[in-house]
Amino acid sequence: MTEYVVGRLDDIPQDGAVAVQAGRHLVAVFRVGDAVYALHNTCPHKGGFLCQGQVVADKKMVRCPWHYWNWSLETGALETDPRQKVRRFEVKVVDGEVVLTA
Amino acid sequence: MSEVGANKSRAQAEIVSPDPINENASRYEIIDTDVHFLPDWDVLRGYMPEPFKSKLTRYPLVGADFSPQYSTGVMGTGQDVMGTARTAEDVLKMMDELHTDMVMLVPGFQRPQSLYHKSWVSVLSAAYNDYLADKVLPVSDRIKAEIMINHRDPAAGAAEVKRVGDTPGFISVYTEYGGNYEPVGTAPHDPIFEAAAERDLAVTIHAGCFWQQMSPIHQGTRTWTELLGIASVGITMASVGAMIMQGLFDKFPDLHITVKEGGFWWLPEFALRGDDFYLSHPGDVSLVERKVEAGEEFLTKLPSEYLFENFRFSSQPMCLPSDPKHFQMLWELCRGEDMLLYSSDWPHATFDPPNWIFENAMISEEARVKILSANARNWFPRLR
Repeated sequence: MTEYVVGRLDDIPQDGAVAVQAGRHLVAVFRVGDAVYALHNTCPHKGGFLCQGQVVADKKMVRCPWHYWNWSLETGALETDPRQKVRRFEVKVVDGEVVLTA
Repeated sequence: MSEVGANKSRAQAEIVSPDPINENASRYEIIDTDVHFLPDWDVLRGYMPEPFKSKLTRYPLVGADFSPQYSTGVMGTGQDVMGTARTAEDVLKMMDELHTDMVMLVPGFQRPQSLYHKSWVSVLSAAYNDYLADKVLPVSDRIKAEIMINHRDPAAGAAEVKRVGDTPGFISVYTEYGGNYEPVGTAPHDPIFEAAAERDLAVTIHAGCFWQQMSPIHQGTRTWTELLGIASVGITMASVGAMIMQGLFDKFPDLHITVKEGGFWWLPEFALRGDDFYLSHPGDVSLVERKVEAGEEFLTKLPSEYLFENFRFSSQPMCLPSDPKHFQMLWELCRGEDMLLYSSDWPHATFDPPNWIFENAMISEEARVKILSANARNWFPRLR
């Protein structure tokens, strides 16, 4: 596993996301308030990119832009069937920098 | 990737703007056979005669008291979640975004055949077709379209096919099926099929005229999955069955019917059950209108033969089994390589990009080419 600097916290739009290439992983890094979350960018359903989805801040979910599958930012679980998961990555804010482990 | 600042153990991640459409899409010719086009209503009104132009100030919300908004959270019966194509420029922009070489536009208006005012359906169809002929089809050879008709008034439907059928760019006739009226394949609709066949036009039937109050098979349904996901497959099978068993293809042997958004994996059940039932119970075929007219007792072929010869199916929504082995079985039973025409259903919430065609190891290179464009080019006489 490698630690990657995504950028400054303010580089990520509030209630939004950026996509980053971290080694071989394409990861969507989300921001809700001062909290950050990271999920594999590709929706397992049909391949929509979660970085382009709508962040539902109060539920801490992202809505895939293609078919509205809702994924938990905290656990990666699908809202409708939590047995299905999208891969989650560790991410944190260190001295104002967003640090992703992938 | 470079190391950052004083912390030598961390690498810099690159912020990227990835394209969700599979990177191989641009290497193939892609014909999208199901793209919904929704011209501005006031623009269409300009093509309508009075009193419709003055009276129909908006598209009627046909059967919209149950709309998909409860299941998706998106308002509007059209569910244009990917955008809205109102002009030729909108279409070309969408095509570029999806790496699409050619589109077949179908009406974005939902459930028009369920309108009880037949005159409205005819007027809307004519206005839609005239707008396409006037402002859309001349813009690009990459844009093809289907002729919207009023199929519940077969004389009017046939007249519309004859009126605009020779316009370059129209390659098929379009209607929706379902509803509480006769399946579109029955003999009273023959004027439409005859007009299409005479002009080398295929005929598309698109899932659509469902909704609880519009279709017996949908009565009592309460969820979108029942309505669009499951019951519409049943009504697709019934519509295809009416065409085959009531002798449509013995009267018009070269007629090509494209079924859009009607499901696909049910073909083996239809073929096996249809053939067995027909062979065991053929006696009433001689009583259907076309057979009475022709003085024939039986069908010329088995139901499964018509199914695989006179029909093709749009691919969306492609619901993939999780086990590739099961996909392989279904693919073979359904003759997927030959029977499917790629479609996205853009911009609806059931949108299907072509990614599955590139990312499935069970689909051969030859099959990939066929599904993406070659099948469509062979199927639609005007694309040959």
